[in-house]
Amino acid sequence: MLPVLLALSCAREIDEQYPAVSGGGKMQESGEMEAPDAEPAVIPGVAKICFSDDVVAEIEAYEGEGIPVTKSSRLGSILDGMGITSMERLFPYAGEYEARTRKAGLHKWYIVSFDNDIPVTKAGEDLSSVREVEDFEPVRRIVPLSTNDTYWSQLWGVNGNNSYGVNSLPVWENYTVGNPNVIVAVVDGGIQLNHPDLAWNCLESGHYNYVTNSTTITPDSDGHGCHVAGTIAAVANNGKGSAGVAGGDYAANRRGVSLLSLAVFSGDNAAYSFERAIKAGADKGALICQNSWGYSLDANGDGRVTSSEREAYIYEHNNPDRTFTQAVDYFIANAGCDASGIQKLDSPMKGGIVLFAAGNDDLQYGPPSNYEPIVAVGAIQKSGAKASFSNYGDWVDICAPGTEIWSTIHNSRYASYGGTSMACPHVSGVAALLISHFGGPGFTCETLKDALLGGAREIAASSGATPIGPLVDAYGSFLYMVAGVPEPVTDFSASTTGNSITIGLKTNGSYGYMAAASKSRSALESMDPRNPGSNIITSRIEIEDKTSGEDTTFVLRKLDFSTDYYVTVVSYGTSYADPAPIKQVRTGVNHAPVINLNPGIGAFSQWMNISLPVEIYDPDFNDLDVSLTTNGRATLEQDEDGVWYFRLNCPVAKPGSYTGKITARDEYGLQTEKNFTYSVKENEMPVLNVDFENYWLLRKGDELEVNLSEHFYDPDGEPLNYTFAVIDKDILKANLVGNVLRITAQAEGLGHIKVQATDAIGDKAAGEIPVLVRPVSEKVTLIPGTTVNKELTILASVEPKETEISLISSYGVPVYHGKGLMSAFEPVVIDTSDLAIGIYYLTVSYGGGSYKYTIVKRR
Amino acid sequence: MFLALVFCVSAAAQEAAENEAHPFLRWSRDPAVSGMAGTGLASFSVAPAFAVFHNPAAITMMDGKGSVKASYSYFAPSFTKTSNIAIGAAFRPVKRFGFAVGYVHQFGYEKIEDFAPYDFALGASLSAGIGDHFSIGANVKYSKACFLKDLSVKAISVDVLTQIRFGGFGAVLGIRSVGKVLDDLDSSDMPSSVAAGFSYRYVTGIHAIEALVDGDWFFSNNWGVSAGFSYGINDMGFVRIGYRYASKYAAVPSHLAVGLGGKYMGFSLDFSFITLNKVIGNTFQLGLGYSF
Repeated sequence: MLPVLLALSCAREIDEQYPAVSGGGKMQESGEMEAPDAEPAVIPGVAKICFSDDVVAEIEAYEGEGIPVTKSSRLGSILDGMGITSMERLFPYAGEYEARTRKAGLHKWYIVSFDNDIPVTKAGEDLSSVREVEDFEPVRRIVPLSTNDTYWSQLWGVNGNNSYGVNSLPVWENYTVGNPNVIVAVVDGGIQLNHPDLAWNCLESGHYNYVTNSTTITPDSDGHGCHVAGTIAAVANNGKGSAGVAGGDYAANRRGVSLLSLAVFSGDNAAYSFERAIKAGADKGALICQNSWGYSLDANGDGRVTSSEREAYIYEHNNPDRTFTQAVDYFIANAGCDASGIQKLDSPMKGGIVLFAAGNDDLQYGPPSNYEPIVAVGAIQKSGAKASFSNYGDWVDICAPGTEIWSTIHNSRYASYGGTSMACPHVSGVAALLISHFGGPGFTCETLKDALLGGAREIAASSGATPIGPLVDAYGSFLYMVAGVPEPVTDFSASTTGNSITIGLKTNGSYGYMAAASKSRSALESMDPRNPGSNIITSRIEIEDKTSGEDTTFVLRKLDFSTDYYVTVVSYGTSYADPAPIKQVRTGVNHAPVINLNPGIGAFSQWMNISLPVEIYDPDFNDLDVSLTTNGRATLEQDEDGVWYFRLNCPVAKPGSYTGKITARDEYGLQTEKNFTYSVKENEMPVLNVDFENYWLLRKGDELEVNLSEHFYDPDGEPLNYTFAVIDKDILKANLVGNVLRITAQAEGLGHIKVQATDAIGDKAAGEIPVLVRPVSEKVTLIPGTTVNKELTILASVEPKETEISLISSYGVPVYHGKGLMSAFEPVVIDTSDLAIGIYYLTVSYGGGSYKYTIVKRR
Repeated sequence: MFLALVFCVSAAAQEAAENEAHPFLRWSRDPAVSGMAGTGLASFSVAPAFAVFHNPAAITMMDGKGSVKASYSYFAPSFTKTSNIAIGAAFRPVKRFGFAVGYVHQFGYEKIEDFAPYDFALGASLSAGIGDHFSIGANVKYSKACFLKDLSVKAISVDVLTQIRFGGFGAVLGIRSVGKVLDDLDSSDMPSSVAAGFSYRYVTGIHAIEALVDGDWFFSNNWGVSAGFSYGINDMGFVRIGYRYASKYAAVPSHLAVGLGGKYMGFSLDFSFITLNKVIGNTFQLGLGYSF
């Protein structure tokens, strides 16, 4: 243990030129191996102690103030000699997770502060000599593994412009941009939670500052934690700054993965216990533990590496701290699980993944990232070569872009940094995308790690003397999850049209097929399917259900005309199969585009909204420039599937005849024209072509239905929209269901409903539906009865008959007399508003009968 | 009698005529007047017991000191079948001043909503003579028509008439039934009119004949003209006849009336009968009076 204490390291910043970046490099240049004024590599006056079970029980039972007194006199005297000022659990009480915390033995670790004058090594030696102390670890001085660059550059790690990026664009387009239920714990400098480019993806609560032991998150002085967080989940597509690998899509209102800041750097200070943050990440719901920190070879940061520093570094590589390994194991085992170890219902993964930056010392060591369960991440440059500073070795699991990385930093700013610190969050982002899409019940951290590493692609830096693992490939990992192992294609057909080659084959169950064509047979024979090269033209087709034996075709386009080409087909899935036997074909001459007008283009009614497909294509599969010229208002538009449509909104077009010309021109200048005419007819008004009959309902509550479409007609054939208004609301009510008017009797009397039919242009036709509500037996009906005010309505039975009506005052003055035809639907309505209040005698002579009534005129 | 409307369109309402409230105020309660179709404003032979409902100016022109009378009518037997009773009395305590009171009650309507409608009117008259040939009189009447339990119409009206007599000629001019309906201000007006009457009496021996003409121009633009003739023998027996011709909506419609009367020792008994009207035809009236 002691040598480890001397080997504590501190990561160094790496500038954009990298020459003095790594401790190793600098050591070679200076040749100096001693550092007389070196800053201590461990923090004096503090250490982590793992007590035995019986001492832990004593400590936990102690309720007094100050430091508990143990039964062990030897341990007691050592502790007294150390001048202990505080002692607390390294991994605090964990509530519902306390049981599993204890099961992992983490409750036995205490962080102890003591007299600064007592050397840590001396304290360690003393304590390690007693039975009650199972383990002792100093607190290492740790710094972030990053460096500032001095200029801005593009986000080449994620933007797809560089073939050594993480290949996240196809994932964004086809699968996911992240999911807020995936929580990434950033064990690093505090994240600026209100950073404009981060806030959207930061959890609302749960963040913790392990430097100040508070919930107040303060970014570190370099903005290192913000930078790391931004690479994972800076909000994408929001018009601001950078974009993270799993940062969502602000414009589409799709949030990315959630960031949990577990700050172990705050300002210029570092926490005593990074392990505490790792363990807490699992308890706080994180599934990914992102760590861009480690032990530096130049532990004291004096710019020179001593032999003792180097030895300590190597020792640590081979003998990781127990508190560290226990915390990492705890995270991997318990993330996403409840207290009993079962995957939580709302967790997309069982278990967690811990990722670490490999370190920036250009060494084959990299403590603590080399701990086997950890995914150690090396860094590459834009060229795909290993970044000069990146540690390397077989223990480096994967690599990612790590130079000239732009991302968010504190104070709402952005900066370009380099380092394995910058590479690691790229991998964390890809891991987060994988969980976002594939996560769910039964999805485990082992599956995730398998996909992450299995989908990564081999590059030059992956092997050789300084290997840093395959390059993380987001899309490759997705394909790894969905594709499976491909079967080689043994035969295919290749036919040419113009400058295109159409490939035909029977599917063999592979996930996808790539056709490749080149003028050079040798180029094709040596082709790397992942990176075919500029002299090879490719085309892919992917078949998600991976059926076998089905005919499929796809096209290689934009080749040269009248040229010999060699063609092959490669199937792919988790990897690429061997190419099919190469065939030779010859492309032909250019063919003119084809325009087949829709025969429906002609005369249109003014109400129509026309959208007719027009077949426009290039026989050679070249891109076309298509245009329509017309003296009317027709347009030619292409839908998402590439189909062209002749469109005309006739209601806004003036009636008349028009001409049009469609021109289609291929990219080589060959064009086709089609002339045509079309016309818009003047709208014709709808008409009431079948009068409404007289409807009769016997009593209140009776219903009848009138199909309005049987009465109205539109000469243009356009659909009519019906509306209605009940004139006599006390007698009738109605509702319209489709074209059917349903009428319900409310009271006895003769009611009317006004109906209107409106065509698409707004022209109208109207009619009126009369409905009598009255029992059949009554010969004459008076409405409102024998007491009247302003109006007296007299209805006879159904048929029209000669009728004579007289109304005479009680003193014999005739106030009304009339005769004529009267029926149920042709009532006599007498305006009685000018009659004096009084008694009147009404005589109705109808159909041979005489009916007399005494009427009272009311006020 | 009136133009008939021809209805054939159901939607448009056809208007009933505007008419007047309390038309019964314009009907004669004295069968001696009713027998001449209501003619008699300027009559020499009709005692003014019903001056409240006829001509108050006649009170100071009557021959004696006073007159009382009661009558009964059976109105429109083929139509409304209602009855009315009326009593009236006029006194002239001094030569140039007189007064009268009267009451009429109409009843017998068919019940409506368990209510028997009725009308009544009561009034008082004052009359003053100016010289031997000229007099003036005025009536004030309160009338009420009850149609339903909750529907009645009340009115107050006045008549002011002047009368002049020279020898066998008599003439009357004035206004009648000018007033206000108290509780139906919107739709009802009183049957107000400007009225004039003329008479000529010729007596020879025991025979006396009297020819009369009355006319009303109603404020509602209706009008009515009636002519009557009376023959009396020995001032004991009387035969009367009259005809009224009125506009379509006048308060009292056109009709022909005949009457008989007898008088003895101051007592009088009169009868009238109306015909030539489909509605009010067969209406008859009977009256008993005493003059002193």
